Amino acid sequence: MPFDKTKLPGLCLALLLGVTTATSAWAHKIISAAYPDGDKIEGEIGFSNGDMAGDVLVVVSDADGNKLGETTTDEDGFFTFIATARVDHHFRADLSAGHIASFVVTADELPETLNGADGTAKQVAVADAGDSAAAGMAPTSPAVASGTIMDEELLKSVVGKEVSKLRKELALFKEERRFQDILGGIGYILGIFGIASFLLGRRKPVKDQ
Amino acid sequence: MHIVDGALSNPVLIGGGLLAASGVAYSLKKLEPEDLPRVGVLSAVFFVASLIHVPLGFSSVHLILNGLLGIILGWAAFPALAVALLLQAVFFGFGGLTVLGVNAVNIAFPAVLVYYLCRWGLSAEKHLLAKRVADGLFGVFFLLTIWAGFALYQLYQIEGGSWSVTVNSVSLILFAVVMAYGYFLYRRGTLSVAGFWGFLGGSLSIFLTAVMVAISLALSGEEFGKAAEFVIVAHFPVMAVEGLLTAATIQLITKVKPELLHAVR
Repeated sequence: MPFDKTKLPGLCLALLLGVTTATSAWAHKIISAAYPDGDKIEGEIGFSNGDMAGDVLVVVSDADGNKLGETTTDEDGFFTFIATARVDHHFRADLSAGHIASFVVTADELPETLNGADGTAKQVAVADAGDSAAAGMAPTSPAVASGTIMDEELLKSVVGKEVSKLRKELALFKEERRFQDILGGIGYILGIFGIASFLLGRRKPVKDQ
Repeated sequence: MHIVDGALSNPVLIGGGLLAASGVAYSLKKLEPEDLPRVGVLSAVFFVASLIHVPLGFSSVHLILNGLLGIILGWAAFPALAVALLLQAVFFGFGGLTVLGVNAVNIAFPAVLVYYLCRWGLSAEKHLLAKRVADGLFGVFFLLTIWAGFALYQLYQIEGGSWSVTVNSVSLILFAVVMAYGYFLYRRGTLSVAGFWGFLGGSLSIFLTAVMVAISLALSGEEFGKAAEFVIVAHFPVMAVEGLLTAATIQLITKVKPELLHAVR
């Protein structure tokens, strides 16, 4: 009976597919991201099941591997790093057991007011804490004392905060595996082995002759 | 179980790639065209099974099924796993392209070992030596559970009764109970030889894969003892589940379709 041949693996596959649709507990992969907000870089490291990597050392280096500094995540996997130079920031955290989180904040995501890589200093006058609190800003955000630039900085900070929420959602969305991806993967596998069996089957009669 | 990009040093990556390539090449040379559908279907089974991640204990775990693949496919487990791992890396970012070779060897090599061991155990079921080997493997697993119990107890003293410690302890106890009960039934002759070897093969392949992951990490500079403890203890739940699953599958196959076990060489 030709049907018998496919019954057992087919059953396994059907069972597994059933389980796949029933469970939503994806995990294992590392999600890490950094969101620059002025000269402050906020980042988070966690696993795609929602667990965050708390108390992990994050090493920051530039593009050539020179160490710029290091920071540690808090219990919720968040960390902040104050950039002092406008260069690419490479973040790397070792979560042990083969889990490495690494990501880059490029120089053009950081404010132009920071020192460039060549050392040209453009110092920023930071508004005092009272002003920024009155303006409804996070006290750590840099603000420039002059009026028009002040508004621009405020706008940047507010927009940046809203966008960073969206970025987080987008990062989570990217991790979501959809059912059609899984079906597509199965299709690819069967296709690859189908082509292989076609090629092998074509070669076989030649061998026999 | 899938090591990600950037965790291993270059010599380990290149060595793993070469080993995986030669394994795939050797198995393709042996492969007959009529075996290919079977290889493809089991490759798809692995692809789907290892996508289901269950957050358990220290990290999340997932089925690997390399024991089952090994017993059914033998050397053909190499191409089956390599293709599925490649697609997982490309589609979902599990593992990665540079570590593909290392991951394939870590998962497929235990499968091939289990293939030789379990096929021999199944064919030589009446031999005294096979019984001795089965006893020996049982003893190794028994010592392993004791060691894992100590490791968990030390963790309990540090962390207290956290969620991960509880889950791992429960699954360790389950594994020990299932193993002891299976061995008891096997000695009494109630459990079939196929089921017992299936259980041994299923859990042994996971254990070997965990050891190989720890070795890959150790060769790249991580401390072996720590890495091994972490990986092995975290995979006790999988060892228990896969042992049972493989036992049931192999027992079913020997009853319903025994030629499946003798098809691929």
